[in-house]
Amino acid sequence: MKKTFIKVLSIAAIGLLGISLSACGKKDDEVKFDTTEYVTEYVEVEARSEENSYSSSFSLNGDYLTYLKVEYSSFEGEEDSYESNETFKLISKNVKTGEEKQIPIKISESTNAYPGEFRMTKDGSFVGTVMEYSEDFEEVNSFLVNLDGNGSIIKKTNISDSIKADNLYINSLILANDGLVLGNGQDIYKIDFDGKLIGKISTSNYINSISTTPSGKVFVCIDGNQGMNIKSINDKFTDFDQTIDVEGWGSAYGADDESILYCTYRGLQQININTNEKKDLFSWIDVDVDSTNFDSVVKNADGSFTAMYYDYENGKYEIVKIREALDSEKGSKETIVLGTYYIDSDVRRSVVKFNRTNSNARIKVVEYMNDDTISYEDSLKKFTADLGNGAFDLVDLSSSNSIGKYTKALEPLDNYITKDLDKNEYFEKVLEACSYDGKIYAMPKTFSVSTLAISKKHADEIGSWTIKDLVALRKKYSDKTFMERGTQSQALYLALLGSFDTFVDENAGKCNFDSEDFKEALEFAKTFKTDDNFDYDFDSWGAIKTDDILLFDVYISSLEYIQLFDTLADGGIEIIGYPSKDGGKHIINAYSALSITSKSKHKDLAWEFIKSFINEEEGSYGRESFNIHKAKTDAIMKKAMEKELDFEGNEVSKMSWGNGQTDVDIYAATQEEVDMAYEVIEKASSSAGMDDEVVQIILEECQPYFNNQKSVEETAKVIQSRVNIFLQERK
Amino acid sequence: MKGRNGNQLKKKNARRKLGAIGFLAPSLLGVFLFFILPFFVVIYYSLIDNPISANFVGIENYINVTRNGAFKAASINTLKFSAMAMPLSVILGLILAILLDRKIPLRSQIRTSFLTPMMVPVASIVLIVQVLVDLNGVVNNILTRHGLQAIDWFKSDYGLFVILILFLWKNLGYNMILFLSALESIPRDILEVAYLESATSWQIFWKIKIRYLSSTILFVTILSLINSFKVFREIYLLTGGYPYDSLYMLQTFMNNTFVSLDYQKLSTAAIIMSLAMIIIIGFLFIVENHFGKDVEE
Repeated sequence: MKKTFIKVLSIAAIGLLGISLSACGKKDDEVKFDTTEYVTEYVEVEARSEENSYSSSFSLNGDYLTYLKVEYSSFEGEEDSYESNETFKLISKNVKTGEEKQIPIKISESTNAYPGEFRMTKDGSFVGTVMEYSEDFEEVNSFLVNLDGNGSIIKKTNISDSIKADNLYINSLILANDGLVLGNGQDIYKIDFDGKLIGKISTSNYINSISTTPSGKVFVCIDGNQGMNIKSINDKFTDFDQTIDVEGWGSAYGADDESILYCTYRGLQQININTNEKKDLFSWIDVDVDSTNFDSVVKNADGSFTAMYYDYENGKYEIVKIREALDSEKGSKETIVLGTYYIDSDVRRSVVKFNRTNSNARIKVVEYMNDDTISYEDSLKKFTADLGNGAFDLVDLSSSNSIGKYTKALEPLDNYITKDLDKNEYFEKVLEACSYDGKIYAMPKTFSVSTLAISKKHADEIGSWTIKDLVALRKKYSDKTFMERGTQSQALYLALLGSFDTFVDENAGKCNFDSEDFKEALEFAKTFKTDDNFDYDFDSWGAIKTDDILLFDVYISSLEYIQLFDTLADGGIEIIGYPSKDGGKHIINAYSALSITSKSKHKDLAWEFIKSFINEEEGSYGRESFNIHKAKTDAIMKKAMEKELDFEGNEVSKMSWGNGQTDVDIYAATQEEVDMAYEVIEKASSSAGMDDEVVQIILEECQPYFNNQKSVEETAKVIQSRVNIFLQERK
Repeated sequence: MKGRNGNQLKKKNARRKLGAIGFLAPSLLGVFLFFILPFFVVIYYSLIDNPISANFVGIENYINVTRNGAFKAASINTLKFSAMAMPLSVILGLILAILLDRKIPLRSQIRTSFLTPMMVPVASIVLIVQVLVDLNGVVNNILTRHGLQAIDWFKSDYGLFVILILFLWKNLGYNMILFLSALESIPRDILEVAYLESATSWQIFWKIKIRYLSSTILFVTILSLINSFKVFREIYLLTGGYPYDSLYMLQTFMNNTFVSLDYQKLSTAAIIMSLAMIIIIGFLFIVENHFGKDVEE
């Protein structure tokens, strides 16, 4: 008996150990890369604005899309009394069959009438709102308009007195079973079909969306003070009766009588309204949707979803139907995993485009900064650990700011570039910014240049522009606002940015922060105000305009930035760069810099994506930033030089730029400004080369010196000691 | 008859062996998976260029690491620290044990007080140390009030001594307990005979107690050596990954190489450190064998 007991016990012990050992292999926070779980079908819809027309009031009801199209003829009349000739059409489109019905409507006899929201009812008629101004625009009324299926007005009811709203502009209209729910941003009204008020709820916060469940329960998505809230309205329409806290900025849509859908720019969530249980359905990028502007999301009877959103890239609305993939549809393509701390809009757009068109592979994005991110450092550590463990095929290291740190995990791209691209077509300095030890490790798409400028009238005072010249200039202008954000840390940063390579020799693993130059930089920084006294209200643009500031940071991501400062400064600007032993130095910042990991098993497919990404044509919504491809940047420059003319052929401003205190009109760029931009790009240095860790050490050690607790010698000695170890270790 | 008994005995022995193996299997499996296998993986990593191409590079990684300035600095600092921490923690632990082996008032309370540092989390200790010896800490406040210059303890050579005190405070209690139990296991009759033979306390201590304590001294020394080589958490929490050069230890070097994904450097440094410890421990065994053999006999 005893022996049997011992045997059983020992078997149990072995089993227990086995279980515990098997558990060691899996972590709770393990990165999971699922295959494609959903299939997306696309229906291109309608441009929001075209020449002589624009569309609005889009709504999706089952398979039917309804929207209002406003067409206008060219402006007519004398100079001081232009008149437009507008016609309105309600478009009803079956998104399944493509069948379209255009119904011309006349919303009012008045020319001062503006359509609001229109919806199609179950019987094919239409209901909508119209805002009408009196001739002198002194009086305004809001009307409820009922139209038959042919667009003829059946009934027009003035609801202004009924709803008694301060703001009569109705931006939400929901068809409920027993009436209509209207919203104007902060108030929600329920009226019957005759326009009589049933109930009203006012909120102090912005209402982002109003929706109903099939049974008629009304939900609103409100910007709560500590995040977004979904609130349901009681049956009597007198108050809210339930609140659900949700993450991120989004809109709610009724799904079924049990649940609602919550849509953010990241993805779609289903929330059970009885239990508040939340289920993440999918992220938009995983179902090949690139938009942050959703108008409608519907859950269909077969469990699929239909979403309508605005596609900025093409300037069109798009409707997609998303259904669960069949087993036969899963895993037919190779999965390329793209790891990124934060996905930028350019990469996102390209991923969606690639996934929609490539028949061999799909990109799966793993983003480390999301709504749950609490600590930047922790997320970055996890990203780095996963990179080291070979979890990705591609990485976007733009946010990490130091490619050199990760080169052991990255594949040099030189061979791919030589094979498929003409290196001469790309800005050499930008490629250098993504290189380490002579090898290119990342391919960026766009870039900017950080530099320093001075008003032309002071340009001859900078000398050869070394740290000594900077210190001398400070002494000369000690009573003037020397620089924007003029605090001690910022001043030190400015002094070191261009001269970093004179203090640090990464290849030799040596530094000389105990040199006289560095001590001078420390002493220079100490003459500024402390970081606690940072003046957040300082109007630097105004100061440039009135010549009350000497040096100003110029962050050039497009030509407009040069134009902005050139316009602000009386007499123009001179871009002088950051002081260094060789004179002014401009620093390149590369964006959307994609790398292939050395552990990737799909290096060729990963390169295929990079290639398509950098060669992609800019869309209508593309940023006008400098492109790594010279020809594309040339085109941007050329476009910037084109003048915009009014009816009489006079040049008008292309854009107006303001910082809240000072406004600037930007006109067509001059040849001089374009030359200035090219000169800066061509002279720019590969990168600042300032490792985050080194910057951290310097800023940390300077504080006791700035607080008069240490001498400049002691401070320099400690910095030298700590940075030296860092460099030796990296060697 | 005899043959049948013999067979039965053999079968019984075989069953016993099988049972013993069954009982040992979980432990052996655990030791193999978590100690032996990783050790060989580390050796493998130290002999290849990188985990992807995995080209055998011989001792190239060893040459690179031993030439690395940071590794040299870390090794010298660690050896320096161990050379101070190890003897101090053994000698002070022994002195405390001898004192507490006597009949003194509040003996058990004092013993407990020396054990409490083992129960305090490192983060709490670090917090207290920061309050005390930070540049704006209590100690500097006292110094400046008396007209003396404030010392940036962790950004100067004084930092090593602060860490040494912290190390001793944390480890002395455990060493003391080990010595106390060893002292209590010395045969009383031998000590009584020595008293009867008019031996002095010094002679009893040196000729008898030290001899009987030799294996415990060796054990405590090895333990202190390993602990001193591993000193990291306190330094990291107090000064970060790149401290003032006198506080830069081998563990800091290895932690940083891990963060920068340089597994070859990390593995090679770990092997070199292990070799150094094996040599030192081997030497300690030889010493112990020499001094303690008559007790064992």
